Amino acid sequence: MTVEIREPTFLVLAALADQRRHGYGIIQEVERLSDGTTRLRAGTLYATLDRLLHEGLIDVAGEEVVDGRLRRYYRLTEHGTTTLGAESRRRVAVSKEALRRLRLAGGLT
Amino acid sequence: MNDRERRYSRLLWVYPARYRSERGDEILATLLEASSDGRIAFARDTVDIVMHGTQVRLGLSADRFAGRVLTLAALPGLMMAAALAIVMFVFGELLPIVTHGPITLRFGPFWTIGPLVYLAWLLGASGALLWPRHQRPLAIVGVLTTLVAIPVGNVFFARPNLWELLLLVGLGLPAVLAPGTARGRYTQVLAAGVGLLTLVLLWLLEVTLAPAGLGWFPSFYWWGTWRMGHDMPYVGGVAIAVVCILLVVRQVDAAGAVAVLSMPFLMASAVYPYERSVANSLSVIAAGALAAWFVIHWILDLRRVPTQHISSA
Repeated sequence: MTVEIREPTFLVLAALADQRRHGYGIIQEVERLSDGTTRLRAGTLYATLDRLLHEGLIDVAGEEVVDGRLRRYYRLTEHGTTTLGAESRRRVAVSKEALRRLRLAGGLT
Repeated sequence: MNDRERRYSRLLWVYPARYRSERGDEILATLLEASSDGRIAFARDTVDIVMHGTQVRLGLSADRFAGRVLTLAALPGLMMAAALAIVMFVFGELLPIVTHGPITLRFGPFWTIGPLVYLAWLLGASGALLWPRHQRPLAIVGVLTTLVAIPVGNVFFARPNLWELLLLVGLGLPAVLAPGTARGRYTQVLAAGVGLLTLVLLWLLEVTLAPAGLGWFPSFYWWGTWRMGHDMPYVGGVAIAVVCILLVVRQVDAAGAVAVLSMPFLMASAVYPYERSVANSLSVIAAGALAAWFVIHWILDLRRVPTQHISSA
């Protein structure tokens, strides 16, 4: 049995799929990806980032100071890219199957 | 620095000094960028930061010894709780009714309100096995059901008491406190195996160690008190043997997980010392030794410089 990645973790990984982002950038991207349904708070975000760093799914991709504030950027590692790809494919397959069954049952036009 | 920045800076003191020096400026910048003005927004951020800070301070984050141990122990702990719930139900509630009929019914057809608790753990463990991402809320439901049932059972129903149900809480706590969910192809299979092994072991102990003349008997008092102190140390003993093997092969995290899960069993004889035996005394000593080893490891790990992946970047 394959274990699913939790939704907030999946969204954080997805937010980093195309480019490196800093903390607030990830929060904004997660909100956009989830159509505004998921708004990460800082504590939750950094708990997730700590775990992903530890698991080697992301790493630090530089720092800069903007308006006197520190920005630390994160990006997907190779392992993170593979994991996100596999999880995304799994979710797409499940969604396709769900839509197919709904159509068969006449629940979708 | 304005008032808002000052308020959020003070909030960061919830983190330990080392973590603050590594991440403080970064988290503060994110907080200030992400949060809006207003008391409600600040209150929400406060709760969120305090929870994360407490987790880091206690070493319960995913990269720490205690966090890793609890993550490993979470699902097997729920499976063991389900196994214990089954045995408690069969031997404490069901068999007395089968052998004696409805002597004094106290809660529907049962002696106690325990079956509600057993059901919560059984459903919770099954749910966590099938949907691991719901592990924590399911464990919280089990813990809360148990903690409510004990005083309710004692106040509104006649004895027997239900203090023995605290063993279930002990087995479910890792799933409540774990910072993440163990992942891997065989995690669920292993956890289910641990639960099954616990069930078989408890069942065999119950049947083979029953004193002559008592047979399957007879009441919740007997199982819920005397048997708890009698049988549980044997389960703890098996767990200690597993801990030793894991330490020999240098699987320290796994050893910690088994040690945590052995505690409720080992401590049962201290809570229910109705039968003074060598096994009971040894189990309490073993529990103390395991607890000391775990705490020393935990403290040493807390002193380790955290988040090296950041400073090395």
